[in-house]
Amino acid sequence: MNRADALHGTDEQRWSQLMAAAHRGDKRQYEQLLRELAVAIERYITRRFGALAFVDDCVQECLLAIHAARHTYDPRRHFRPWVFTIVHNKTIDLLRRSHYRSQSGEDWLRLSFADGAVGADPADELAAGEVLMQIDPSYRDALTLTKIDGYSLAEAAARAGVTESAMKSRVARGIRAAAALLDKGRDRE
Amino acid sequence: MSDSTKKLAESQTRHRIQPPPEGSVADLIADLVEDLEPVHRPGRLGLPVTAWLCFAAVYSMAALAATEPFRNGSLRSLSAYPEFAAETAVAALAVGVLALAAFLSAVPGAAKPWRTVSWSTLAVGAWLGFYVAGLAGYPAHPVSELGHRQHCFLESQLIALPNAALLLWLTARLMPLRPVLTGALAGCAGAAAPAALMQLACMYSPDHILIYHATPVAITGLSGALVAPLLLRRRNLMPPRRTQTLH
Repeated sequence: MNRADALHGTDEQRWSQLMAAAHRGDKRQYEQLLRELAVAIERYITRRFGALAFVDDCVQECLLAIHAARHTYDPRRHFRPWVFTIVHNKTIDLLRRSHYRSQSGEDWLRLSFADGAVGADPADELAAGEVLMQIDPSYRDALTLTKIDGYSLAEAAARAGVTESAMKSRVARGIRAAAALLDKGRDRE
Repeated sequence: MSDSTKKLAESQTRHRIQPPPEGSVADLIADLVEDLEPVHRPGRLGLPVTAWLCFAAVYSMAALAATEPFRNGSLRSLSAYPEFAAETAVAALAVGVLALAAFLSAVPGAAKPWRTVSWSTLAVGAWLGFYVAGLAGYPAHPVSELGHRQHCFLESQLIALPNAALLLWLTARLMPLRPVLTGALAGCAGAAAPAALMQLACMYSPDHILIYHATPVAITGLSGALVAPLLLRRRNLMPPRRTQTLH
């Protein structure tokens, strides 16, 4: 067992114990669990999608979903597959729905990154995400334009020099590719 | 200090040195903690699965008996023809596997989707395999038109609906993240219960069973897959932002 596996093992044990305490109604332990999960989820998403405003909303959605689904966690089962299945699902949901720039103006780019590196170009920040880095560049551009920059399909299509239906298809394929890559990654979590 | 204690201490230290969540995330955590209530029997699926199976068996049997009587001598056939008893047992098992798969598909991380699909396909395949063997000349029960029902297809279809609806309602109380899969499994399970009982209530002929009793399983499964994404969206309607109160 390597060091990363050993650390995952201890997280697994701790989180499982904290959730079991939460099931009994222990608010202090539950708060501890949510705080630790918020950090873990942020790291999980940042590693895959880069450090964008997307992360903060996703952390909130994931925490809400974890709270709503806490009764489905069986303490006899592993905690990580349970929690990261929710995180994976919510991340893809948010990616499907979101147009970030239009919602949050120019504040879409976070000022603090896990690695301490701050870039000005959305594409640079996306490149920090290992999932998006592995996607076909045309799909990645489609996702950047529509999901991060917040352009409409027509605007994004005009910028990329393709038809609107081609852009729509690229976005859908990009999301599917991201979901498939997250699925693969989740097996390692 | 043992190795495991060291690792645990290291894990605790690692989490403590992380910056605590700030702003809206911290507020959201405070809200969620405030909203916490004890959970009884968390994650246990045994009770809902058993309850649904009991309901499906009793309701389907009662509904079938209310429309027309069961085939004369069908219970005696179970002891007279061991292959028929085995076929009925495999049919009941298939219903159970489908129901369990539907529940498992609604619990995050409980089972990989391909695994639930494989197990369900295997169980239904084993069940239908008896009829295929019957078509090939090895029926589990002598073929006859005794007990023939005029509307067995429609009956199977209609009886399946409350079964599937209850199963969907029960799974909606969990966290169905793949509603299409959950819906398809719930639909199949809902229709498989009357289909399994039909071989005691209606005539025994493999081709008749495959066309009129088994087809509703596929139809209801397909309907479930189409309808479930709309019905099971409840969990996704949670407030997306801190600005919306939980209470």
